[in-house]
Amino acid sequence: MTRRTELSTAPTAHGGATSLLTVESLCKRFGGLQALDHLSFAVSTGEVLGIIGPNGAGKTALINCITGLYQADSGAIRLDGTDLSNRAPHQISRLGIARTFQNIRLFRRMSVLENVAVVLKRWSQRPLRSLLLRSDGPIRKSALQLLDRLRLADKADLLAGNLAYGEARRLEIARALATGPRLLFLDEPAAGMNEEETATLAHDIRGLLDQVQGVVVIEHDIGFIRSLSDRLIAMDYGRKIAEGLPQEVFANAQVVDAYLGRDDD
Amino acid sequence: MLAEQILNGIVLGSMYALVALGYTLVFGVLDKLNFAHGETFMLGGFVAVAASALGAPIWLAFPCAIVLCGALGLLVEWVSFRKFQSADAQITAALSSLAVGLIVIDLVQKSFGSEPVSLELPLAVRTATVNIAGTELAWIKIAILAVALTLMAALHALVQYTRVGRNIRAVAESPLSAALLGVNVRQVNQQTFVIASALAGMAGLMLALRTGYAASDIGFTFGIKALAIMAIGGMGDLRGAMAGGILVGVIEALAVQYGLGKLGEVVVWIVMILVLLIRPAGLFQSSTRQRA
Amino acid sequence: MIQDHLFFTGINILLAWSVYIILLSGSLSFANGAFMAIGAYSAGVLSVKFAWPMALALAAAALATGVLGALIATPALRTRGVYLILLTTGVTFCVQVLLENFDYIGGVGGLGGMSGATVWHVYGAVVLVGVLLWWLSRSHLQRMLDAVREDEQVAAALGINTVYLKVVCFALGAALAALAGGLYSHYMSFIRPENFGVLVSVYVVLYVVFGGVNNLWGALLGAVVLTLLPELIRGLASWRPLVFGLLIVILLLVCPEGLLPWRSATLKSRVNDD
Repeated sequence: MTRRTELSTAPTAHGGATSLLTVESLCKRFGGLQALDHLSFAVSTGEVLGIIGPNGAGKTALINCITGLYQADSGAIRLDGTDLSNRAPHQISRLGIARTFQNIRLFRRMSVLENVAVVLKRWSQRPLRSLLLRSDGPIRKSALQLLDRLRLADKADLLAGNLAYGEARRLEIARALATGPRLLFLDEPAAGMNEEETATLAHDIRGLLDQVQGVVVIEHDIGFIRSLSDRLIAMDYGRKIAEGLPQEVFANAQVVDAYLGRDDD
Repeated sequence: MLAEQILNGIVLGSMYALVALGYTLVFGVLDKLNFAHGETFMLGGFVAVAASALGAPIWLAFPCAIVLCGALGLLVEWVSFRKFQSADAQITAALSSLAVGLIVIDLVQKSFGSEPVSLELPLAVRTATVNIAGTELAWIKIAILAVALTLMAALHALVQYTRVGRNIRAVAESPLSAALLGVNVRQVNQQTFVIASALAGMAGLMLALRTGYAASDIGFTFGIKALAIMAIGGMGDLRGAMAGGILVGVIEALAVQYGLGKLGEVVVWIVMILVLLIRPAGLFQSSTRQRA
Repeated sequence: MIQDHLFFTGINILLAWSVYIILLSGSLSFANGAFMAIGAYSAGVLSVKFAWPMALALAAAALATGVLGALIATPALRTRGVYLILLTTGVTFCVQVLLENFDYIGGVGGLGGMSGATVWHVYGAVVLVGVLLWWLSRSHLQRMLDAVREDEQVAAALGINTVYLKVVCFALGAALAALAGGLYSHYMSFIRPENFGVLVSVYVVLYVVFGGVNNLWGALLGAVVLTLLPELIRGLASWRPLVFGLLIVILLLVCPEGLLPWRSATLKSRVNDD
């Protein structure tokens, strides 16, 4: 039933790069609220795409639609040409999309190491097999490697619920990486962090590009997103109001209006 | 005969409705199930037994049932719900109230025995009839129906038009915003339990008067069926509970009339399962939601 | 007499584990009394009316009930929390009424003639299931189930097939309850629908809650304590429901996670044994 389409039919702002993800005319309504209103964009291979917008602009609704937690009302989402609509969240994850959660949703009763180990791509897809074949060694090694990347290896045996705020946000990222994604969505990864932590995080996120083919970051912190993103999309009321290089988007009158004209947060 | 069976069904159904209203009221306000509610209802029947055994006039049993069952409701709120407020504790609260129910059953059985206990009603009460539209109908059925309908109307008025009701509706909508608006949420929870439990007590009392006996296992048969009715009517939906109760009462009466007996009982559960799977908001849900 | 107590304790351990297995994936089932009934009756019919050997009858009953459990779970597990409690309670009532109205298996009168189960059989099953659960508790699967129980949505978003795991657990729990029911019917030699009322389901759930839902020992301890305690203390037997109810109420207030609340990590960063 998978409908294969020509690669990269959607426009890419990045000259020459192919589209990893294309979103076409996506719509989602909640009662009287149009959370997503004919939203179209593409993520190119190898880029960090930033999405900004005031609260209620539809950013998290967008991630939820792409990752299958919500069913979009209309529109198309394709990952490398593979249609993602009507697929269950775990199928979408296995096709290569991972995410973090804005309101940190770690498995709080499990250890830091277990949080990563539990979703490791190689072992989580065949749950019953683990009863016959024990592979604690390789699982531990893979999980510790990921923790090490996010500077959490020394916390491995702590309960995830006992982590400090910044650490918990980094564990969210390590856990998402464990699913072996091609495209990573980060939902406000710097929220609640201080300036120093934010700067290190930006560096960490750029470094992820050797492991994933694309990163989409949703963020409020303008300085953070400007320093991090190759390209920006600005949203308001579920629509795309601007797209382009960071300096272009922040020069856009509509964007300035959306940010300054309304009380944010 | 058919008309009389339908009347029997409506009388029975109004008892179901009163008990289901209590379940739905508590669920609407606290988002939790009170599994001790069926036993509160059962206790109401034994108030009638105690009253008749002590030779007290029957009317006196009504305030006694309200006070005793209301107090039990307060106790259940304190023991099984006060500490388990969060959404995560939904199941803990349900199990705790279930355990309270087991204690109540055992205490009643220790006091009255585990067999159904019959109660002595004055002959005049049992045999009096009234003539409505050319049909002789038992006075007690009409009286019970009248009291039940009055109670439902009173509950409706209470919820819609009084300050207590306004607070109840506010907490049902959102405990957090209600608290921010200065509503004393704990007090509203207690009021909700007292109201729900008093209604159940009255229902139990009237069922005992109607059937002439009280049984300690009725919470697990009749009471839990009211739970199913609440789910059929939509959890937290007051009108759904009333309509569902009367509907089920009539269906059961008709099942008896046509010799289906026990199979009539399973209909309630099958309908409940279907409703939960297909229309979790309830059978009577229209576009405007009428919540507790 | 002592043998009876031992036997019922063993059966209750199996039943408590059947609820525990379903709870592993985060669902609470009030239908295990019904699955026990189905197992008791189907194993009974196979050995009485078709003269199957007991072991074969028990295996077939467990298998069939497991399949039935999966069929029920597939739509039922779309609901959660108290909705699932209501739904599974409804299943218990429906099964009981069906048994009462099914003349082939004796209706209200009951079914008799089974024999062959001993205390040894039951404890053999307890040890077997216990070892399997212990093996599970150290596996990657246990970890995945913990994740599903804690946050189903997140687990699904990160690639875990939550629906599959929940249905598998429900089916296995149903099969284990059926096995316990089959052993019960072959020990009692006579069963009636009223042996499997909603109270059975309720008690079994309370065993697990009492002992603790986070490890397999909790369910075991809960079943043992709550089955034997009223028998051991003289004069307490007649106050069984009261003692039972009070213990649960107090425990939930003092220690809402049960007597043995811990969860042990499935993986450590340092290699100790292995």
